[in-house]
Amino acid sequence: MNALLPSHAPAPTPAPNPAGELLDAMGLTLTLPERLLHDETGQRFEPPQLQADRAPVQLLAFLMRREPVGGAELLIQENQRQVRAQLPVQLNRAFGSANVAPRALLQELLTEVRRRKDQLDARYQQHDQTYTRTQARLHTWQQHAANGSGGIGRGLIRLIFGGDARLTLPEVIALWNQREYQALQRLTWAAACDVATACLELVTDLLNRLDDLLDQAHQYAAHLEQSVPPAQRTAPPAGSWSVSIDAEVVTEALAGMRYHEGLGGDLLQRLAAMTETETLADQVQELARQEAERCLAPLSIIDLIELEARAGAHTHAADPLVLLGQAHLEALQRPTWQVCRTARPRVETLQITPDGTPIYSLDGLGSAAYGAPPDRLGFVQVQFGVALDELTLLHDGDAAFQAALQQRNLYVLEEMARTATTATSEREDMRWTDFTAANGTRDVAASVTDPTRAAGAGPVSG
Amino acid sequence: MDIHKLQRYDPQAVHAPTHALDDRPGPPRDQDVLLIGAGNSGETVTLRCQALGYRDGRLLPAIGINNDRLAPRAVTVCQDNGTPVSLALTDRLVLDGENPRDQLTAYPLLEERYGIVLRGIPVFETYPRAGAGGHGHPVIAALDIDLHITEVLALLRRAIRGLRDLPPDVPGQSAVQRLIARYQQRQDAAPEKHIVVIGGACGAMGNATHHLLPYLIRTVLAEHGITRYQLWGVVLGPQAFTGLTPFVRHNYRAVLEALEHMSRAGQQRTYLNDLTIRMQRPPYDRVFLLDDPTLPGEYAGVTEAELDHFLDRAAVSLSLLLRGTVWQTIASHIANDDGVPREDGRLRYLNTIQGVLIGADRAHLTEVLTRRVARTLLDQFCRRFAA
Repeated sequence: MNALLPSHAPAPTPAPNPAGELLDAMGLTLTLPERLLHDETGQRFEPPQLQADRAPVQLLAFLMRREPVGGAELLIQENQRQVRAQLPVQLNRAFGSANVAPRALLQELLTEVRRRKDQLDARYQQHDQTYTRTQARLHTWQQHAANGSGGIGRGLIRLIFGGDARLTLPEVIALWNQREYQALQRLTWAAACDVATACLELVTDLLNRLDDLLDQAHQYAAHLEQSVPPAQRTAPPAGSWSVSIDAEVVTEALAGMRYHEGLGGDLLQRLAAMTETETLADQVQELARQEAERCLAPLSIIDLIELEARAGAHTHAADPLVLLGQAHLEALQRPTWQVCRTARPRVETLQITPDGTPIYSLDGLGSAAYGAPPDRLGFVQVQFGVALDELTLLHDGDAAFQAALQQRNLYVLEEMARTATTATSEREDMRWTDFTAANGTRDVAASVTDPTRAAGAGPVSG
Repeated sequence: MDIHKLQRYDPQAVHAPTHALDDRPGPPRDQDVLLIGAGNSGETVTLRCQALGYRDGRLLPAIGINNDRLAPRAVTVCQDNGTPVSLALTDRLVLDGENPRDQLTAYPLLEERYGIVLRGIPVFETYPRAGAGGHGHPVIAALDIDLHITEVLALLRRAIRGLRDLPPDVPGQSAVQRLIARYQQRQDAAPEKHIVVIGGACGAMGNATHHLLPYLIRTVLAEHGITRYQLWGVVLGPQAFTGLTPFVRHNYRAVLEALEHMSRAGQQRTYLNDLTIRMQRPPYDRVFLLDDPTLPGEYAGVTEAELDHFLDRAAVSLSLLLRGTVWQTIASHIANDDGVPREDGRLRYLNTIQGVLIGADRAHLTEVLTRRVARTLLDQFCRRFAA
């Protein structure tokens, strides 16, 4: 029995119609003609209307106009242009963010746009027919009014009391006013039909080009996959920095971030506006470059270092920038010369940042500016004030040097060569004296070639 | 040589368009720095410094002097737009020709000088292989400079002329207006110029250059009225060149002794073109010794890779010193006493430098990210529109 009672179940919700909702959002509805009549301040355009209290001659001039006065053409054209310009934008934005499959949406859109266009066309036909009838009646009256004879007096009489078309003046004025109103209606509905036609063409065009674009997209994706960026082909070239930011790692880290959400929509918008000479690859490349530049623009060298560091395994380690600084300061400790233990060179160590603002804080660590470009960070250590004989080379290799000097001159400057020659001769003489005193003969070959015998010679001063 | 490490040579650097200094549509020329590379290693470091500057958007003027025709290997750098350009050191003077020792008899001045200087050096070792280097004999490279003094001076004059801050000629400017513009500029304090002579001390050309070029440079600077300048000598070696010639350490020591000698006595020398230098000045305002005492690695001599790495590090260190406010900051710090007593009267003019530089190639980053975004976009597009 209960089954006979009226059901209290909620009414079934209408099935979602994404295409209809999209077209509603785009304004392609039966209210579009009305929207086209409003200016930017929201003021509606009102057609000119005649009043019977005008001067008869002036009234006659208006009533005898073959075509409506109008006046809304420019406003409607501008509004129509704006709506048409927004069509691809809104359509592409919808494709970029909608959850429905674009191909299915496009097909639904095609059906829905056709249906709405038919409705708009039908309404336009009605307005056109109404207008045509009114225009015909008014033209008939105008013809009779113009063809009559008897001068102005008779003409006025016909005008006031009705001529052969049997219309009184108030009736003619009402007819004229009606024509202005209907002309406006006809114009707005025609403009709305144009918008619907443009939308239909856009959707049809997108649907037709979809397969072609998909082919292009697959080809370009394969090309990107196969080709390698130029700088990756070789090892870091000579004349490069000590450490380079790894573009691949940074890019990988950036990929974790979300790109601009409307990027897909922007691509569709570009595809819709694409000329015949352009390709999908051009559009994708340009859009991707803009997005890449937008992503990278706010990132300083510090941000890039942190991004690269955090993309690695040491995500939870200490501040990566500090670790990097420590590693580089340690690298600066590698010797660049060999000095005696007693040498105490003066040491200046600087961090070099883009504008000289310190990044690190450490006693004895100064700071200087690198200048443009801003993508550099460095450390430099300068050691000053070492004397010549504080270099270990002067002590370690002294014997070999003196031995070589006995065989040949090693100096470029004449005065040093002369001094060295004199010193060598003196040593030779001394050695000759010592040797002859001991042995009574001279072993020239041994004195020249045996470096151990020359090791006792003192350093040659410049 | 580990033959298992043999790889294909990548000719990319060779294929990239090579630009000479004068026709390069690259970054603006720096008028305050002049790099002079002497010998193979000096020229290589010079070119690499230039490459680092190029990546920073400034063109460091550089010249090379050598008696080896072989120019340093071109360096590939990326322009702002990411296009690779191969940089080569094109403004170089190669001192080659007939056997220099044979020419001594034609010049009594040189005959007398080199009679002493060439003591004990057999002609077998210096027999001409013109244009192929001095083979570790600085004396031969010095003789080359003596014999080509006119060309050497012409090279220096041309390079140093570029350091003068002449205001750019404005189209339509009259001679009087140009003169006034130049005069007005002279009234302003001219920025300090940095002339850096880079050369190894262990071979022939770099070694000889460190002896002779500093005073020739000072002479030409005086000719051009440039008084506010710093003349730096960058002396490379000796460990980094171990095994390249038998005289590596001896030559190095000899040049250091010569620098000490000249730092005390200045230089007096007459050249063939009647130029006589009498200067009571040190050769360099600052001498930087750059070496890697850990070299050579596993072999008795340095490998090409080790040498390459050393030259790269030298270029980075040196170019850092020439960047932004780095030298100004150091100079202001060392103007104050650090409190360490050094009152033994010894000359303390030897310095060393070590630098590290982290860089991001934004053009390359943009390129890689663009590819990544493009792939994502295409993937999204295909997934969405194929359904």
